[in-house]
Amino acid sequence: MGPRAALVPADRLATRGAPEFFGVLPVAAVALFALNNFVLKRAWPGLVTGKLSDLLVCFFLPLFVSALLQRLSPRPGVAARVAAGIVVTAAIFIAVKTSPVASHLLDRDIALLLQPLGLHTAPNCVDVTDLCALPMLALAWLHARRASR
Amino acid sequence: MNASSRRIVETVVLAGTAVLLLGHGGNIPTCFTYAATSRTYNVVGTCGPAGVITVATTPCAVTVTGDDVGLPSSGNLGATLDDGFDLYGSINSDWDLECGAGSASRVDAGAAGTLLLTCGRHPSPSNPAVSNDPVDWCQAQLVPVTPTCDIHACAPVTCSSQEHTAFAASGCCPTCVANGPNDIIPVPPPPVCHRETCPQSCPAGQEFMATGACCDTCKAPAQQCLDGRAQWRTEVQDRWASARACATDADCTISTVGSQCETACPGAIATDQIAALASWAAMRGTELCASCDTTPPGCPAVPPSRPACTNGACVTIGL
Repeated sequence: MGPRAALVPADRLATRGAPEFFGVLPVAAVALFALNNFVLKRAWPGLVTGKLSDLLVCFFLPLFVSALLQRLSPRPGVAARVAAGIVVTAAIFIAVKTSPVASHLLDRDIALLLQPLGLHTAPNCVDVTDLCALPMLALAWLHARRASR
Repeated sequence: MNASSRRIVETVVLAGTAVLLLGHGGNIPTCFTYAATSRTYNVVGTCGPAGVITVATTPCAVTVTGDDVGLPSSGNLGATLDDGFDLYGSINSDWDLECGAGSASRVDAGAAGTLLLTCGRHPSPSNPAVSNDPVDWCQAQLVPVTPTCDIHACAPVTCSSQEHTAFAASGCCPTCVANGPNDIIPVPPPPVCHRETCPQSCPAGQEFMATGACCDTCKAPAQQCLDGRAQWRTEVQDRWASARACATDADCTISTVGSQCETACPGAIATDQIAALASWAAMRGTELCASCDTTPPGCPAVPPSRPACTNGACVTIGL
């Protein structure tokens, strides 16, 4: 049985929300992401804190996208939602980590979104070595499969 | 936890995650933890005349009142006034102005609470400019007004266009200093071409002529040009007719050719004949239409169609 078939169909999960994201691991990843960005990176800037955010975001962003999709429409199954989340995450992550143009667009768009709120974000850093975080997408898939059983 | 409560908690988690993703690595705003306050500053610099402004917080937004010193009248802040704030305005409908004020180092300015402010302009949403990169616009120094430091108590100064105001070496009164190479001086932004406001058609008998200005002008083409076009059109039709030979639909495509005379309307043609016909048409157009400096109207809209090979000739078939 392949991984897609192992995920629970949509009708069975329609009343269960998005368990792939609302679980201990993804929420802990989000919390660690916040802690790393706002505290650890400033206290100990370096390779570990720098890569940690990339690893975390590649794990929880597909699940986050999946949860958002579930809010928009509970009809697609977990497999379809998480697959969409993985594709979206991979596309954005690869683009902004390899292309200065994509990185600039991301920074600009986020800045425009945050401007009315008076918030500033740290600019994205184009760094091909950050792509080492992409295998975390597979971990997200495995987690979703396990969480949706 | 019932379904309703769970949904609320999940919504909060989703919203929080979204904010974290957008604001990752940035400064956590703490402005809402401070009471509303205001501070009055003496302002000098290149943004406008020297004057006195009052910056009030409410508590995460700021409003600027007082003299017109060339700064936007509203903005926001992340923490306290002493930590700096941002102001947002516009130069005109095409350019937005964004200013950032931050605390000055004590080397630059001795007075506590002094802020240095720089402004940049960038295209507004209605500006068709391609690049959104900000361009430096002006700079200003903001020194808190005190009983012993108030520009309103000073003699007014009027600087020439080659000068800007600055605080004198001693005291708090502004003086004019020459613009230096490192000063950010407002430079009028380049004109923006809104082609959507240009005339969309010309009077009968006239055609658009590009002049390098934002909008094309209308002009009646010379008779020699009209004669050349008619000749070119006839010759192209003749050549096109002999460029339709085909064996299968795959041999055909829909294409067009152009020259200094005009651009022919799209038609079916043998794929392997396009290059030769286009090359000849361009060369012939240069010969026949040297006097043409206007652009004839485009082709009429046609329904969607596809190329096909019928009786050994390429034709278009409606979809």
